[in-house]
Amino acid sequence: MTRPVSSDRRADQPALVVEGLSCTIPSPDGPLRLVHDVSFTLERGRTIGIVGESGSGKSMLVRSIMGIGPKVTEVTGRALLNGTDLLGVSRKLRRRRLGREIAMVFQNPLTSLNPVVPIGHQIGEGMRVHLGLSRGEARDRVITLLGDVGIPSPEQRFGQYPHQLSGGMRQRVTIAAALSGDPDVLIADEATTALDVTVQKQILVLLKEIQAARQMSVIMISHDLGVVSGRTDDLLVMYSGQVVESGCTSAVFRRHSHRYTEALLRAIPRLDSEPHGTFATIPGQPPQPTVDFIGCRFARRCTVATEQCRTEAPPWSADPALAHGHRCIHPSYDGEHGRASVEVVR
Amino acid sequence: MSEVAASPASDRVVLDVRHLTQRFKVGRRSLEAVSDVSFQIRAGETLGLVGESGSGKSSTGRALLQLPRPTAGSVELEGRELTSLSGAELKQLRRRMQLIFQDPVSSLNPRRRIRDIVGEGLVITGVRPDEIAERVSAMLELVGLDVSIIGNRRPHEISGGQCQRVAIARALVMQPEVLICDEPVASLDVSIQGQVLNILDDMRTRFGLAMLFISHDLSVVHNISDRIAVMYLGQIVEIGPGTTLTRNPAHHYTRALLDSVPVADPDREVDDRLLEGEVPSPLDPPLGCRFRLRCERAEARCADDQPELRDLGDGRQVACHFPVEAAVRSVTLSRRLPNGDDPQLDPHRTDPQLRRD
Repeated sequence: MTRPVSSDRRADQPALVVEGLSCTIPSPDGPLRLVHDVSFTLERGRTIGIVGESGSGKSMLVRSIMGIGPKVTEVTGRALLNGTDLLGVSRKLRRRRLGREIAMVFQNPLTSLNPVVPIGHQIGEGMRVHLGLSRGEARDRVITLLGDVGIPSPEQRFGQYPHQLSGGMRQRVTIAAALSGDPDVLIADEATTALDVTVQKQILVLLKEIQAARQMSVIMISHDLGVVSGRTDDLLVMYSGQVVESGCTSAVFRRHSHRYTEALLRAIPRLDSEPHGTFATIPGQPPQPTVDFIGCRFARRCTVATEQCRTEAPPWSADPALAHGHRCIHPSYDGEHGRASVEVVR
Repeated sequence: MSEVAASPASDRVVLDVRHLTQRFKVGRRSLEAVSDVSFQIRAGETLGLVGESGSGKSSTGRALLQLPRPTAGSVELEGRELTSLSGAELKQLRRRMQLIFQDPVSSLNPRRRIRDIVGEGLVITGVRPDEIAERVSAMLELVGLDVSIIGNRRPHEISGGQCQRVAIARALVMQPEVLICDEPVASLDVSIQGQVLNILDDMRTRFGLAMLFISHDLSVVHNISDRIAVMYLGQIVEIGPGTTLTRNPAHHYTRALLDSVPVADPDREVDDRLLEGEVPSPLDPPLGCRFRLRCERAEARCADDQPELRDLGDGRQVACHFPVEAAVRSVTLSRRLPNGDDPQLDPHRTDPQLRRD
């Protein structure tokens, strides 16, 4: 697959750099900070996973990067896409870049597709707008693309409507639509959550193949640690709007340090355990993420929280050698287990 | 999940389902959502029912409750046939079979208080008000909720996990013998779903409930069930002891399902073997074995001859002409262990049906 190399798509530059991104929305109880000071770097051709439970701010984060969050959101920080900030620019300028440089696949393909427009036109629309193709050229490209995403007999499918396709096929169509502008970054926001487990696997494998063929960078958002494990290079664990732990995926799994990551990993039902055991749970609920929240956001549900956790915001501790960091005062894994010195960077 | 509680499953069959079939009219055609499904659930036992969307698992659960009445087959609750009962008789018996739904918030009346929601069934069956209050608060306590804090609230004022516990209390306050759980944790976060699963398993032991646990999630079903039934396009393709199925599946569909479960372990090799294609339309299921179009092992016989459920010899039944060989081998091995030379051990005779004709 060849693509025109434009000047701003330099291979030596990360595809996306997010720096200190925060989102605040007004609420009856005062402003809520749904995303708090998130930073990460997505290199070209790499996959970053974002895991978290409902309300952790993972969707809010990527929607703010795309500029498609609720209108009342106040977004601060920077999101450098191919080296240029996406946040401070005008709506018109941003629109020109969406689709061509960054595109998104959503959870429910039935609501993200237009029910009264044939799928071929929906996919071709982006191409005609972004690449200035004619109707006929777009049609040829769409048919190739439908084949690329594993839709059998694409010529016949071109004129069909979303309701005539199965859930898995619809999700393939939204992926084709996202790929139509040949983006550098693809965001998959719970893209396989609504699908059956065998279809989920088909889509995950498809995303991997497409990424390898196009050298695309991917942000994979999921509530399911099983989905991101083994299919991402790096991982961010989010809780109540903050990144509580991040690093290379295998490091986060093996040397998980934040007490939330630990509790979450333990709560996953496993196929290799004996039946009728006691399921590990995390009692309580996440707090309201108010702007003036003090202390660790997980402290109320944490089994080892101390007074210090409730009164001081835990600093970000990172181990640069392993590119692994966390935001916990009493980590479950630290230097005494043989890891190199832990330095406080923030 | 380290401690293993002894399962109190007894030999008393509470629910006996035979040749259950449920057909729905779709336009002029008829859709067979449940085809000739048979199983039993004993007191204190959990049967897990797994399958993908459209496999008929929810329709099976509802057909047991006669919601609506099944097209054919029999459902016996402690020896009483439900399918032939009159409406009034059925109403009496419904108390003994309760149902928990997937979405806890929408299954509770948003305008009523929690204490009234839990007590409603008792009001209908004519229990005295003071006894109702007592039983409601005792039951809420069992599911870990305090009636003095939560009793006067309405469903939108409590969390999803708490709503699901209210739904469990509402079902169990009627002292049922059978509890049907239809995807009870599918809409809950992983940190919360354990609470609900622990309560359900605890209640099964405490009250000796016969539980049908319907879910698409094999890891959840594995951890809560004594036995598991796998459904595909309205039929049970494999049924047997839970760990036997999850550790050593015999049906190729069960194996494909297990292979598709995402495992949270980055050290594990990600295997990209795929179950090709999608579930065919239930309006027009394939002749013969319904799975054959997606099965790598399928042969001409699978199209001509619909496989019946048959015993593999380890307490499990499988509907497949050519079951997964590892499962068959493990059965022969375990047979060999107790009595030295089993005549069946002749490799050409492991299972007469296994040979190709």
